Amino acid sequence: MNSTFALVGGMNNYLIEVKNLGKEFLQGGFWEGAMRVRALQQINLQVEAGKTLGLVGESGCGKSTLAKIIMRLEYPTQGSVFFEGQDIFQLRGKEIAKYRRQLGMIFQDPLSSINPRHTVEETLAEPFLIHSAHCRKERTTRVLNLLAAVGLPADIMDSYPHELSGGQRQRVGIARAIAMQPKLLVADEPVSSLDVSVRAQILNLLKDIQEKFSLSSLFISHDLAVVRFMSDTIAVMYAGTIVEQANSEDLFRAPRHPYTRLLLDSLPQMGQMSSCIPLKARVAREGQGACPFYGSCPSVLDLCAVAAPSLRQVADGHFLACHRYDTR
Amino acid sequence: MSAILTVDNLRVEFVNGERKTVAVAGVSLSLSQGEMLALVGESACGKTTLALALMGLLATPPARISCSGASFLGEPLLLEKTLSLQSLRGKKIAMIFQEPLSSLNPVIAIGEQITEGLRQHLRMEPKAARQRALELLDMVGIDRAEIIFRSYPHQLSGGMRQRVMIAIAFSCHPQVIIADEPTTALDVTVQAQILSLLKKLRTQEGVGFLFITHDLAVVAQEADSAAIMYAGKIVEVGKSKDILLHPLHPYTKGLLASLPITGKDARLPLRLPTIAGTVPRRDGNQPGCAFAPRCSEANAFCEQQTPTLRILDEQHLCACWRYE
Ligand SMILES: Nc1ncnc2c1ncn2[C@@H]1O[C@H](COP(=O)(O)OP(=O)(O)OP(=O)(O)O)[C@@H](O)[C@H]1O
Ligand SMILES: Nc1ncnc2c1ncn2[C@@H]1O[C@H](COP(=O)(O)OP(=O)(O)OP(=O)(O)O)[C@@H](O)[C@H]1O
Ligand code: SF4
Ligand SMILES: [Mg+2]
Ligand SMILES: [Mg+2]
Repeated sequence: MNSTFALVGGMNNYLIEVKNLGKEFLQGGFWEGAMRVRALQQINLQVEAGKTLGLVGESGCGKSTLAKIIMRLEYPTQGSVFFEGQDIFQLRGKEIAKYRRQLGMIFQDPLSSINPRHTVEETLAEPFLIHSAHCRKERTTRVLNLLAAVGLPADIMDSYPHELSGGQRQRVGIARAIAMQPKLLVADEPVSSLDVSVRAQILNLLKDIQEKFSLSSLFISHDLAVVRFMSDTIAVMYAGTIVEQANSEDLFRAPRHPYTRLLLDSLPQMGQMSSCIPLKARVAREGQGACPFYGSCPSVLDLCAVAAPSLRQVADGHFLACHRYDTR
Repeated sequence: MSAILTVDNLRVEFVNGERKTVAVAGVSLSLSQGEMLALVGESACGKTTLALALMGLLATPPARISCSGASFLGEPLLLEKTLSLQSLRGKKIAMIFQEPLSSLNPVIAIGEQITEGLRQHLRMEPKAARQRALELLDMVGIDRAEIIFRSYPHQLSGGMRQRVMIAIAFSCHPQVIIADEPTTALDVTVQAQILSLLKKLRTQEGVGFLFITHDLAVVAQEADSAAIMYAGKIVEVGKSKDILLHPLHPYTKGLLASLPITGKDARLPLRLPTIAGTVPRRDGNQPGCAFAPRCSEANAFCEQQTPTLRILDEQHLCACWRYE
C-alpha cells in the first residue's frame, strides 16, 4: 500500500499531513466587541497509513476544530492539510466528493450529524445509495450487518433519531462512518456516551477494522485509557498548540510536559481522590509572548513569561514544547 | 438525612403504532439531602427516560407513565401528570442534559439563556442577573466569561457547551439536580474542577444529585450510593463502595471486568474484555431475568421467573436468583 502512496504523495508515506495549520475565529456576538480567538496555532501533524493518531487536550483547546478542518468543514486561516500528498483545499468539484468518500467521520454531537427525519435504516443505507448501485435487498443486509457490528438490535431500523438513547445514536454514527470502508477515520469523541462494556465492544471493532483494512485514524477522546488503547502515537494539545507528541506507550510511561503530567495525574482512579488544580490561562491571546501554559504551570522559568517554546524533538519520535527541556 | 426525592415503582413505555418499548420497568429510588446517587447502566437501559420522567419532560403520547407514588420535599409528586411538574422544573429540580447542543437554543446568546431562569424564577433585575451569569460561567471554569456571554452555542466547544448547561442548572439554587452524563465532554482536569464544585453544592447547600454516568472511577470517587440499571430495572443498589468493591449482580461484575486498565505501567491487552451478547428490545412480555441470555451464572430458573430486589447485606440490594 505504501508504494502506491509514494507515487501520489511524492516523498513521504503519510496518508494525512497537517502543515503549519492555524485557525482564528471571531467570537462574542455579531455587532459589539467581537474578539479574535486563536483556536489553532502552528499545528504540524502526520498520520501514517494504517496508524492511529490520538489527540487529547483540555476542553476548548481546538481538537474538534482540527477535525473539522481535516473533514473540510472549516477553512484554516493559515497552513493546509495534505491527503495522499494533495492539498485538500485545492480540490475542486468531483475531487472533493472523492476525498469525502475516503473519510469516515464521527462527530462529537451525534444528533447534529444525522438527519432527524430519517430512520436508522435510511441513515445507514444512504452511503450505499450514493456511492454504489446495490439492490434494496443487499442494502438491507448490509445495514443489518452494520447494526450487529455496533451491538444494536435489528428492530431499531425503523426508529427515528429522537427515539434512540444517546448511546444508540452514537453507535448509529459509528456504523455510518465505517459503512464505506474509509481510508481515514476522523473520530471526535466516538465513545463518550457508551457504557464500559459496549465501549469495549466498539473499540475492539475499530481495532479489528484498523488491522484488517489498514485503516488510519485521527482519534479524539477525553478518556485517556481509550486513547492509549487505540493509538500508536498521541499528540497532547493545550490552548491551540501541540505541547507534546510521542509514541503512545512512551507518553504514558514518561510524560514530560507539565500539562501532560497534570492530565495523567488528574485521571480519576478507583479508590483514590484525584488532584484538582484549577487552570487559569486557556486561550492564547493575541500578542502574548508567553508559553500558553504559563498561568497554570507548576514549574515555570523566567523565560516562560516572555517567549513561547516551540515543538522540538527530545528523543526518538518524542516531541516537546517546553523551555525546561531546551537547556538540556 | 431525610429523603428529598422518592419514587416508587415508576414505569415508562413508549408506544409508536404497534411498536412498544418498555424503557423503565418499575424503578424505585430515594435521594437524600446532600446525597449523590450514581445511576449506572448499559446504553439504552432507560436512564435518560427515567430522568426525563422525573422532570416531567416526556411527551405523552408516545410515552405512557405510571407510578405507585412519588414525593419531593414531602409533597406528593404526580409523575403521570407531566404538566403538574412545570412549577418545579428549573427552579427546585434542575437537569443537566446528555446532549448539550440539542438542549441549548442555537439562536439565542449564551448569556441570555443563563439569565432567563434568573429573571423568571428569582425575579432578578437584568443587571444583577448578568452579574450572576458571569459568576456562574467563571465558576464552571469558562475563561473570558464576558465574551462567552455574548457568544452563541455553535461558537463554543463541546465541553464549553456542557459547562454552560451545568451553569444553567445551578443558577436558581435547585434542591435536586439530575445530571445526565454531565462530564462526558470534559477532560480530566476540568472534570475534577466540576466535580469539586458539585461536592461544594452538596455539602454547603445540601443539593441532592441523581448522577447518571458511565465513569466508574467517578462513581468510586464521588458518589455516596449507586444504582445499577439493566433493561429498565435497577438490579443492584447500595453504597457505592460496597458495589464497586463487592459487586453481587453478574451484570455489575461484567461491567467492572470491562474497565480498561489505567495504571501508568499497566500492560495493554490486545482486546478489551466485554459482556458477550446484546440487550434485546423488551416489550414487557418476556418472563425471567432480563440478563439471563448473557449471564454466565444463569440457571434454568432464571429464564422463567423475574428476580426482585432483595436486601443481601446491610443496605446492599440485588435482584438475582443466584442469591436465593
Ligand atoms: N464557529 C466558531 N466560532 C467561534 N469560535 C469557535 C467556533 N468553533 C470553535 N470556536 C472556539 O474555538 C476554540 C476551540 O474549540 P473546539 O471545539 O475545537 O475545542 P475542543 O478541543 O474540541 O474542545 P472540547 O473538548 O470541549 O470539545 C474554543 O475556544 C471555541 O470557543
Ligand atoms: N421517544 C421515544 N420513542 C420510542 N422509544 C424511545 C424513545 N425514547 C427512548 N426510547 C427507547 O427507550 C430505551 C431507553 O432509552 P434511554 O434514552 O432512556 O436510554 P439510556 O439509558 O439513557 O441510554 P444511553 O446511556 O445510551 O443514553 C431505548 O431502547 C430507546 O430506544
Ligand atoms: S438472576 Fe440468573 S440470569 Fe439473572 S443475573 Fe442472576 S444468575 Fe444471572
Ligand atoms: Mg470538541
Ligand atoms: Mg441517556
